[in-house]
Amino acid sequence: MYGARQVVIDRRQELNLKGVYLYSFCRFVTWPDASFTGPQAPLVIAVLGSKDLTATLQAVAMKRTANGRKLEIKQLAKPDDPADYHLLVITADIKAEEQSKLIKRLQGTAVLVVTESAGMGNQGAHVNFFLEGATVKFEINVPAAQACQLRIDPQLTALKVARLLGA
Amino acid sequence: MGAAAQFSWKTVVVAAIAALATLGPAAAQEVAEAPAASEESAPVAPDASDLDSLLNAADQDVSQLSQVSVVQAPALDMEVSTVSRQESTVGKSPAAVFVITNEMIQRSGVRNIPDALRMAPGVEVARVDANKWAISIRGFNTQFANKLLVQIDGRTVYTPTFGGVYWDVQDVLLEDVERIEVIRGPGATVWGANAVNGVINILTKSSRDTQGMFGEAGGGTEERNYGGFRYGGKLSRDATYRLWGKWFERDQGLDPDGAADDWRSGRGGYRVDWNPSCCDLVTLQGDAYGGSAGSRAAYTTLTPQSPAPPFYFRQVDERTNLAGFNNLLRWTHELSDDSDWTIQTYYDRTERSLEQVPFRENRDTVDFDFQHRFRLGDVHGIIWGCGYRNTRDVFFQPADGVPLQFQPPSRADDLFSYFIQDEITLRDEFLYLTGGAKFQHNDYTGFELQPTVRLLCTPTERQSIWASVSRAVRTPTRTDDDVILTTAPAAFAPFPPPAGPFVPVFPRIFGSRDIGSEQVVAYEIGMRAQPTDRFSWDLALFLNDYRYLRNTAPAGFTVDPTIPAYIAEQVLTDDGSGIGYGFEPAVTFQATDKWRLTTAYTFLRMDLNVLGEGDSARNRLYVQSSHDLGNNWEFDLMGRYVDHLPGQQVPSYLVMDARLAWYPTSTFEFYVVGRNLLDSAHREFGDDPYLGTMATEVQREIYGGVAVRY
Repeated sequence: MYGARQVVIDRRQELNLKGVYLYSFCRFVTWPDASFTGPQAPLVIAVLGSKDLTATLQAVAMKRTANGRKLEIKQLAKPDDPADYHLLVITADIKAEEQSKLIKRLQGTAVLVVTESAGMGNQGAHVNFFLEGATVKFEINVPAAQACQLRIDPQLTALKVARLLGA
Repeated sequence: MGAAAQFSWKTVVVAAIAALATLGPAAAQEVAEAPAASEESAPVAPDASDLDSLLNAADQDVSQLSQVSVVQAPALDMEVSTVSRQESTVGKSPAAVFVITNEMIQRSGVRNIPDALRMAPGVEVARVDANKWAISIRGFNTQFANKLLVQIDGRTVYTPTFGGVYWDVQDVLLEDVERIEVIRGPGATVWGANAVNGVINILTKSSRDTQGMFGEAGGGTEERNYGGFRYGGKLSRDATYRLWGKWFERDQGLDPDGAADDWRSGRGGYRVDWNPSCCDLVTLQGDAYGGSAGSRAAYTTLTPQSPAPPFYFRQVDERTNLAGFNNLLRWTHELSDDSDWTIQTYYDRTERSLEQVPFRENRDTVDFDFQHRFRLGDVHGIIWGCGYRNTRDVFFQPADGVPLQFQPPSRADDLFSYFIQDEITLRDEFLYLTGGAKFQHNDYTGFELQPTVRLLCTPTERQSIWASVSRAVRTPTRTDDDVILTTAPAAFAPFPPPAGPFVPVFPRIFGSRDIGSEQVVAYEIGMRAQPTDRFSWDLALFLNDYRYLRNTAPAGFTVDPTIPAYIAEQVLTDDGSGIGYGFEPAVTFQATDKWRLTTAYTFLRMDLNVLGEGDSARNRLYVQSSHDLGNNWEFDLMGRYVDHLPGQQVPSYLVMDARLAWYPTSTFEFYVVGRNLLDSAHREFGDDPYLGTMATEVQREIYGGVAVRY
């Protein structure tokens, strides 16, 4: 009866939800002890791309800690920024070639790489967000994470919205 | 308009309702033959509207996040609970309902509840002076408009003194408002006795959704300075709380001869929400306030005040000192998915005292309310409840004070009410019939019955059509029963007759205990649809047939030789009648992802045999454009046209408000708001002829501020 269903995404809600998922990843992923300088050292999240997500993560960092560690949020200026971080988010506004290059460069290091662009899960990103209907879902690449000494809690892989890759 | 025209209107509406009822099954068959609608139903998590509730959900159980929709809630899926006292959506409500969301309030830049209400179609908001408003729905607007039921978080806030709302003491932290539901038309089945022309229900967020800090401060040319804060935290794993406070100072309006209606107020409150088990929710909340509201008034006096006209007025710059507090406790117990009960009680204390004349009004109200909802078979959704309210007032009013007296000066009243409503599913996902009635016993008129029948048809998920017939009453108030009001001299006559010097004739109105409730029988039809996710519209048509409206009748002529003066006594009667009719279309259009347009038009005509026809605008238009400019800038423009009010000698006016806001990070918001930008000042309502309060003009103003959220 009506034309094609158009979907209007509530951008603020999408950012909030992704921010909260990222916070949840920090809780349900175990990094090797060596990647922290001490038991009180913060867990560092770096964002390459949209500053909107950085702002959301900063709001999360003020409200929550992950397994006793403070969250520290960094905005990366360029892909080869040599900053130290535990989790890297590459937002969709970064070119695909640059994304794959960066993912390749980080292979083998204890950095959880999260993307939100189609195909990046198969390129080696550990978690890749995608939108299905009104729901935010994500691909998880467990073998790739294991290769980086990152242990992903089964609670995360068991989620309805998680799609396992590389099994 | 004559009786014949009234009759034809009614016939048309009734015929249309009947047609709808008979068409229903036919349309249902058509739909049944069509391919089954897709199962796609976007999951909408109601509480997940902000970061805090998402974080709380993630802490409890990450899988809850999968329920969160990131698609903008279509207009028909917007939550409402006022229509039938249970959670539902706009699309499934067989009534003319409009929801003002938290986001709309924020984006309009308004600083008080009356200004927020201007966004809703059908609501008449006219500022009398800087702290007084005339607010009504579908007619009968005055500062003492008495046909609305207004509630804040389940607490009834209209005063039994005159049946209207003292808007100068109704306030909340707007940041924490979840939504304001506005129902045009009688909501009498499940709500109280004042819901004749509409219900306004202001709902604040659960403290679970207001965790963290909020602070704001700002000021400007009229909003001299204001500030507010909230802190939300956890008491235990299952209990959250918030504490909040706010204050403001508002400048006076404009009058060429000077004004004195500046206003300041401070308020603090708390709310605790406790989930002791999966199925129980206990809420405890309250607030306390104090303030001072000014006005310039010309009080009627029986002795001459000046050697030149006007003789019988005393002009004073009055200040009303305002204070009060309230506490509310509510316990909801869920028995199953579609069955629960709620018990609620509150206590409310209000104090108002004038500084220039010895007049004071104190009121205490205690209210108990119970409701129970359950399903009976597959077809019946039943909700019933009962309530008791006791309200006690005391007026301090020496005889030589203001020209307003209540006799007796103190009175306590009981109100008992019961309601039952059945939503019958005639055809699942298609046709629903709601029938119900409210029975009420009050100390003024005894037993009152207020029935309603509503039919709702939802041919598709994105369309609904409804029609209703209801009877509602406004029970008499203290003013109807007990007022003694002397107004300005209407004429002069010789004393002693026939050739003595001329002395004034003062009209004096007496309340009466022989009058019944004002009554409306309302016929309504509405349609709403959302053809695409970007476009939705809503239309309501109504005809209200009023009986037993307040009127006055001459009751005698007395002489007071000590003044000397004549008193033309009048008594309140209930022989007024008339009709009101009109329609209210509203449209929302999401032009692009970043640009949203909303508009609401209201057409209203009143045809009464008592005063009041010319107090409501015949045409009103509201347009709002909300634009996301990118880089975290927001720009909003609001335009409003209001037709002239012949009864108030107010010409039509067109005003425009604008807001520009910038969010450099998710923590900070900076904004500038300009209001009434098109002219330096305009009048929205006239002087009050009964109490002598002088109206002032609304001035152009600019204010700016900063808000911090973390």
